[in-house]
Amino acid sequence: MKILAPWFLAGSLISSVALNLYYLFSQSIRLDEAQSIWVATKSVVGILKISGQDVQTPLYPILLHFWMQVLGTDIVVARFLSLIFFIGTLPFLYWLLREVITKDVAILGVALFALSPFVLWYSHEARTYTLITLLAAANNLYFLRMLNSRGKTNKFFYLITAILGVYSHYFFVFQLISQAVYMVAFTVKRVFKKRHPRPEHWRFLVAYLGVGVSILVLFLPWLWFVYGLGLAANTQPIIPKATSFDLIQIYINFIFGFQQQGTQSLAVSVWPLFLMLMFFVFTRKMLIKLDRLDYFVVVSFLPVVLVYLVSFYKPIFLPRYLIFVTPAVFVLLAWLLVNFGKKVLSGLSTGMAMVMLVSLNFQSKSILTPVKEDYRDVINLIETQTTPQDIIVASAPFTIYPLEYYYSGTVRIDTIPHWNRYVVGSIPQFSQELLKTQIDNYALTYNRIYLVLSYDQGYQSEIVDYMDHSYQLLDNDLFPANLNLRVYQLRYDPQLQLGTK
Amino acid sequence: MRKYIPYHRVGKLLLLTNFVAAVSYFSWWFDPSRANNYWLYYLLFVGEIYHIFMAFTFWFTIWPEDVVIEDKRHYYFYPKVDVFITVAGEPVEIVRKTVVAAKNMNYLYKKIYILNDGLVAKKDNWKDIERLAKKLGVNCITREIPGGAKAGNINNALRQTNSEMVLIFDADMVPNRNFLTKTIPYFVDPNVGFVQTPQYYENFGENAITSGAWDQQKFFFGPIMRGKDKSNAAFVCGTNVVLRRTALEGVGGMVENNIAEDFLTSLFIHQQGWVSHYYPGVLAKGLAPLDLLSYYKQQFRWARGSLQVLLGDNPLLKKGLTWGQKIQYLSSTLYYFNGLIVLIDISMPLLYLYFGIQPVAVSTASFAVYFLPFMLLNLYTLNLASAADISFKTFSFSYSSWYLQLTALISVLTGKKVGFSITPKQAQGGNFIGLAIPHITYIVLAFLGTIVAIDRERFNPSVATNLAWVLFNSALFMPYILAAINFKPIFSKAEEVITEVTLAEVKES
Repeated sequence: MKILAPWFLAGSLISSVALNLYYLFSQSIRLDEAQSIWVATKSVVGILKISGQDVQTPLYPILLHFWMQVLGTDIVVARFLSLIFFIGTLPFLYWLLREVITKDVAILGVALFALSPFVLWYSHEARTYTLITLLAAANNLYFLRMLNSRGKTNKFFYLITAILGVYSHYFFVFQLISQAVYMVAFTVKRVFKKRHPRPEHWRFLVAYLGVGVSILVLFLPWLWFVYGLGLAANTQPIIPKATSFDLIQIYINFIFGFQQQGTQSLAVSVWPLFLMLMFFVFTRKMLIKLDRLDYFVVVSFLPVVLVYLVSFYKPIFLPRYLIFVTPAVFVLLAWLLVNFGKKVLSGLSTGMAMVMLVSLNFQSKSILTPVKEDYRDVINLIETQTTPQDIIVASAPFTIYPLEYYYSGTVRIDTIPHWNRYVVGSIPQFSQELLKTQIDNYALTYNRIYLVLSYDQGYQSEIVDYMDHSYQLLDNDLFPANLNLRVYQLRYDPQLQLGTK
Repeated sequence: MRKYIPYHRVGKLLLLTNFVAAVSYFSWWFDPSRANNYWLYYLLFVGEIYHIFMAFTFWFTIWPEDVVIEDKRHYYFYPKVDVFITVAGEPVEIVRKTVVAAKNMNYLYKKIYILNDGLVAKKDNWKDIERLAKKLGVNCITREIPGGAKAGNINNALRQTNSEMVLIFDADMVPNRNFLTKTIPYFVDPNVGFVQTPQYYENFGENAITSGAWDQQKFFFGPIMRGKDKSNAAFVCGTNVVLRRTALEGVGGMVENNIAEDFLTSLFIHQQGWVSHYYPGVLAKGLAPLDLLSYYKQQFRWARGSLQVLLGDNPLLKKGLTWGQKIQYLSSTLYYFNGLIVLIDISMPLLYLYFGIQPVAVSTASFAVYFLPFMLLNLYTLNLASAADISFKTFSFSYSSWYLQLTALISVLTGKKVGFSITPKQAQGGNFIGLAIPHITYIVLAFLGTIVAIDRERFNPSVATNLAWVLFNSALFMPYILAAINFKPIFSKAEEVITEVTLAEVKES
């Protein structure tokens, strides 16, 4: 039964790859990407040490390390690795869908996933997120295969994907916890239903527990190593406290990407319409059954809820950290769409794809959306204006990485607060006294300061206030994603004028 | 024709998850700091208590137990049965078809009686019914002294007959040949008071009203009645029911002082400790209300009768009922309070759109996070329990019945008498848009209210949420409104079908 034209999948995949390549070549390096490259250029031991102090686990930087050793350190090269992971996710998502639903729905799911502005945001970014998505799709697949068959192969691959998953990002643990919850419920249900002899069920549960213990044992060395370093999260950005709004918004993000705040607020506020659509779906005879619907509900929602709950204790709720739920979310989305009925499916799917593409366009172009930072343009501007008597200062300190990536001149680059990256330890705390001392010292040596402000860590306004009241503001440029370049005259020297080399 | 009404067993784990989601959602309401307008907040709160109670009783009803509905057989148990066919002015052809089928029932020890109320109901064809009885060789009891409506008619017949069992059919309910062979074996158990079977609407595909009415029936005679049966609380639905005479006479016959006589009679029978059974197989086929007016009258009668029971014979206060029975009877009567609750719910967005008044002060997302899991799980459970056979029209007709349920409630509270109306078996002519005026008015008010709200505060998230709610309500009203607007008389077509079938059966017999 054909329910979707073949061009739908072809069109979606071609558009996705084309858009990826366009963004991959055209976009400026992001802070996170610069960090990835900086970390990956270290030795494997160095990578382990740096990762141990970061919020991420070391698999991606190690893979990137070897990738760059072969192909070079250019950002485009680094991004290709993410693109490969993204493309690799598509067949796993297809197999995952085929495990539980018909071919046509699988195609629909993959086609929509490939166009998701959220997934596309990360699919060409030199970060770990597409690796996590790939591992999540594969892990879900082998988990279901493990449930459906008794073979050792699936258990082995489940174990492998789970281990690689937790070594890609700590948050992958939330997927494993959700699977464990499902597994317990699944076993209890089967035991009480008495469909099969009980010992078999218990043996299966014991086998699963064995896999679980193996994951823990294989992950323990890393946890021991991190514990031994005694440091954690020295470069972690400030994450706002999660709200119930975020809990709904994150699913809108997964499907329609990052939009301007007003649009996202409106999208969240019309949730009764979503309920109405669910009424339409659940009052239809199910055209196409989704095996293990309960599993996909659990792995789509439980990790997000768990992270939300943990966020009351420590704010950790960021959509990108939860990217591993997107394969399951798109399985549910495809299933819901087909259950609106064959008559409207083509129109609905095409409409959905169009809305996603329009969302993607807004996400990439609108200055009101959280577009990616453009450090390249900042550096281009700085390079045309600075002389060796000037200084470039970045705040937050960790934004020095993308600036360094593009800057090849002779002007000194420093950070506020001053941070020596080559000494083990956290970024120093900000204080007004240290700021005053630091700037006064610059004034002894330099004529102008090029202050690059981004990723406000809570003290950006204090820096601006101090500089505005103490020195003459020569120029003030705003770049996308709240990237601000401010130029101040530190001392008056008649030979040096802004814009002359 | 269907063999069984659709039903699907729902897992305990899912029901427990529903329970957790409901408790979580309910907990949201226990923070008065969320209130913006206390009156509206607590009004909504009361509505939610009602919704959650009804949800709990639904889960209780469909809680899976290993009860196997089996086709019972007994080769030496053949009690005498009086078959009552109640008639109050229905067309002769319709009655003829029922009588012929009743005669053809595969059971020797039966006597057919037409209980002719045409004379007391002042119907023109009462003599035709007597002639029909004579022609078909069955008994006809024509009442001359009015009173008690259908219950009075049955009680009158009870006094003039004496078989051990009584089988009641409405004039349009055509029984299968195996009706008695499927139901009588239950009475081998001397504690069994009655056995109810579904009311199948043969004409469900006729128009929007018949299909809507059938969709509701399917759900009631599927998961709901099966569930009630587990609590020994399946009740008499007026037709397609076999009663033990001693059980019926033990409660003084059918209750005459309530418009829903069947419901209250079963409650009294259960009070006496009798056991009831529900057989989910389709053993008779009848006619759904053919037009919106007939549907409206039928629903109004059920609503008023049930609310009368709630206020006058509250099941919670009845001795002799188990707690399971009390809960089942209570939920059946409380269902008709829905009109009041829906009125509260649908008024809230209008109050905001026109006056900017909100019951709660917190963001809509904080409510949605608690409400959506509860609602979605409920929807999924409903879908599962009905074996994916529940339709949007079922929700629409139930939701849109708020006005008639409200009218019934006011009628009961004020004691204003409403004449007993049987469900017409022929399509009524005329315009039924009048029955959808409250719903159309709501949509018009919502549209104008949206303009007022946007003019007042622009299109912001609060306006968007309330607009989404009125769209939600309007979408649920639409099938009902369309049924009222699109009504086309099908009078001639219905008669044609009935005549053809009857002629064929006469030839056969």
